Amino acid sequence: MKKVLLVLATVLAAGSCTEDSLVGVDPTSPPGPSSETVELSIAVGDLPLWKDTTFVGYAVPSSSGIQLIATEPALTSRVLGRFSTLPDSIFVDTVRLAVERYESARLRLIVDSLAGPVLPDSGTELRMHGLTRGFDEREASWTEARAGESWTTPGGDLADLLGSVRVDSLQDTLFVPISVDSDSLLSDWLANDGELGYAVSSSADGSNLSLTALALVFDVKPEGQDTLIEVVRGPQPSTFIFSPMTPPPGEELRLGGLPASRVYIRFELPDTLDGVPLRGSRINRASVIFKSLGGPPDPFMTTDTLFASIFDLLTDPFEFGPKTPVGQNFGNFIELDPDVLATGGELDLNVTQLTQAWASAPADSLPDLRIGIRTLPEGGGVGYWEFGDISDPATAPRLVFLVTPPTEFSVP
Amino acid sequence: MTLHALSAARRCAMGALVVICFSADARLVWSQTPFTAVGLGTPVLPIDARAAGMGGTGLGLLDGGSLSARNPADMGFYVRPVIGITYSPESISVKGPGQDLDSGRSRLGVLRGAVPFDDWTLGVAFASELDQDWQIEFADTLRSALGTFPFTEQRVSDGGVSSVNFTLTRRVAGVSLGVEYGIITGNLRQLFLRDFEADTADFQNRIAASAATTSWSYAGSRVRVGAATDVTDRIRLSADVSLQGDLTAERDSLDVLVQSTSFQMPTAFEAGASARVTPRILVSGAAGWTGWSGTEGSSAEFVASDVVWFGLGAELTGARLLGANVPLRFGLRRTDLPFHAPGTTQPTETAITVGFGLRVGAEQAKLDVAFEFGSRGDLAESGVEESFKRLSLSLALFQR
Repeated sequence: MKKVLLVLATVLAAGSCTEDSLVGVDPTSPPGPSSETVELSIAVGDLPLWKDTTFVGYAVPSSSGIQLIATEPALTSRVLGRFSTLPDSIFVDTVRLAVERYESARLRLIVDSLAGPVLPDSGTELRMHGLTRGFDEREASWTEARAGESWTTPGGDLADLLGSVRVDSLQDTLFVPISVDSDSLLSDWLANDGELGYAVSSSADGSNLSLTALALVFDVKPEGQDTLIEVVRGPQPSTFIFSPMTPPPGEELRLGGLPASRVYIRFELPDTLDGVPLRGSRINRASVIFKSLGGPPDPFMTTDTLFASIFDLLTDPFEFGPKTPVGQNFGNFIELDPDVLATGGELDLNVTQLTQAWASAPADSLPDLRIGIRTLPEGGGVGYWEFGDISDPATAPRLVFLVTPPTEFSVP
Repeated sequence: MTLHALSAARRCAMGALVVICFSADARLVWSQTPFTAVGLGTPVLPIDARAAGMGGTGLGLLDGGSLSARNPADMGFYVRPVIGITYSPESISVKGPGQDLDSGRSRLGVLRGAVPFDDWTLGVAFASELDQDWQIEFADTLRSALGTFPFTEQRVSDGGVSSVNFTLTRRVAGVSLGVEYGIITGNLRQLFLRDFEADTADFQNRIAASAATTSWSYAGSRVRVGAATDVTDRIRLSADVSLQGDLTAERDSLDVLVQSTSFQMPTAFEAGASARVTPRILVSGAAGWTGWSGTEGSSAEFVASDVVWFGLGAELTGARLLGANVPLRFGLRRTDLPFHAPGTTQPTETAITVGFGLRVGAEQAKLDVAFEFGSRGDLAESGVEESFKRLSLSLALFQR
């Protein structure tokens, strides 16, 4: 009976009193439990553990989404490729017929007009050459056709001119007509799986074209037919080589470029910072602040706004190296503002989600704090940004927290 | 390492939220704080609407008595089982230096029943004791190296202290003697929520909200003894004294006790009387003292002082509505409030009261209504001030 009455009384007490909210109370003296949100900052050198490094090679020209043709004082670039999938027969209506003759051919180039193509006032001439030396698309560079095998002439061993086009104004689509005998050229490529390939270059200084697509468009005459049929084939493989080559990173932390660089970090946090508990507190915000080292030398300085993302690392990158398996992405894309970074500005890397998990985890099962940072998309250009690492206190990263310690509840 | 103090620049306007900007003053520290947030809260008058309309008396009332949770001996005058419930909503206006803030609260004041047999009466009463209900919202801005984040903060205190009282009354030689054992119970939920908006310079720059909540449960006991008698058939006297043990507040998490604190609860005396001065006029008066000064908080946020209260009222009979007798009531009351900020004067509550009653259902049921208009505290002296208008509604069966 007593229990029933107590329950009834509790229910009555809970339900008997209601109060509307007072809106607009003076914020300097509100009553009730609360906890101040404080800002904390710590240099990574003061953390119990901070390890950072740059790994390279997550995208190379052959796997990037662009192909560069450039003839600038600071950057020279040529596109290399092979048409290794040319057909020797073709469907006509419902019948497959052998190709009797490759009647004509032209190279179709799709220019990325949003990437800021550059063309000198005098225009330029795009030239397509055959190659006298084959190349490995993953290893080819301005100086080497493949690892350990140098070009005779840096930039590719060019053979005869296969075709050219004069470009006086920028257009989204350009065609380079094949001026040699198309049937001979394509038959040779068909017989040799596209070897030795081709190179596309620009003749005039001051040009820079970024291509989003390249294809061979050719007309074939099927056996026993009088009509010509247009066929399109993309290069397989395709890459570009450029000079100067991207310098390897030093101790500084690098994001972007080609081959693409990522920053991998492992760190540990103290349980308290300046007397404020981090473990058990609400982490409203945690940011790793990178200090930019300014713009890299041309041509690796970019004026394009790039983006980056932070992701979880499933194992220790300092044991597993560049192939450390990656986990989920944290948060939104991070804008790499060239106006800020070129002048030595800071980059705010939001690691709130990771540190919240750490702050709320039981003491015997704390998650490891490991992150990777990469540009999106990787290999979108030769430009990159570099940031200070732990070795230089003046430019070393630091962590900034907005923390609300646990609320101390009390009855008065 | 660096520790930056929070730069809390006030926003003077944000949508519907209005922030009152003024320089902090020691005496204004508690301003815009509802009284339910001061100390252990606001003591709730455990009275029904008839008593509320007659100046908050409720002791020794003739002509049907009162189903207030006061002197248990008053239950000894009922000759039939009786039960009544009182509901009391009120609107308040908390005074601030620049602007008054309106709010409202409601509470189930008292639920009381009694069953007489021979010279004895058994009764039970559920009563609100301390009201700790309040909630506030305000706007501010967090300025940091990571951005400028406006936020709204909500703090909620939901609950209070109530009691379950078991009474036993016996009439001896024309005197009703009563004893009551009260189980003090209740709970309190506290909530803190700070919700940030996006950075004022970058809508994509956001920070996570902060929130925390907890619950307390109260436990204690009280013994009250009282006596009441009809000196003549026109005068009734009533008085009681109550002794309380400590009130314990416990906070648990997943059924594990994490915090406990106790408060010394006060001894109280109260006495009242009513007199039928003419066939149509009943006057009543009551006064009391409660020794709250022995109660200390777990922090230095408030001081407690003894409370003296009194009320005077009258009831006029003879008015009729739709053929029914409608007694009209009025009165006034004054009481000290026990809790206030250090360095401030003890606040008082004063009110004028009016009310009426209506018998329905072949006069077996009784509806009483009371209106109170009053104020609590003084902004300049006690640092907190609010005005209130309270409606009390009582419905009783067989109250004669």
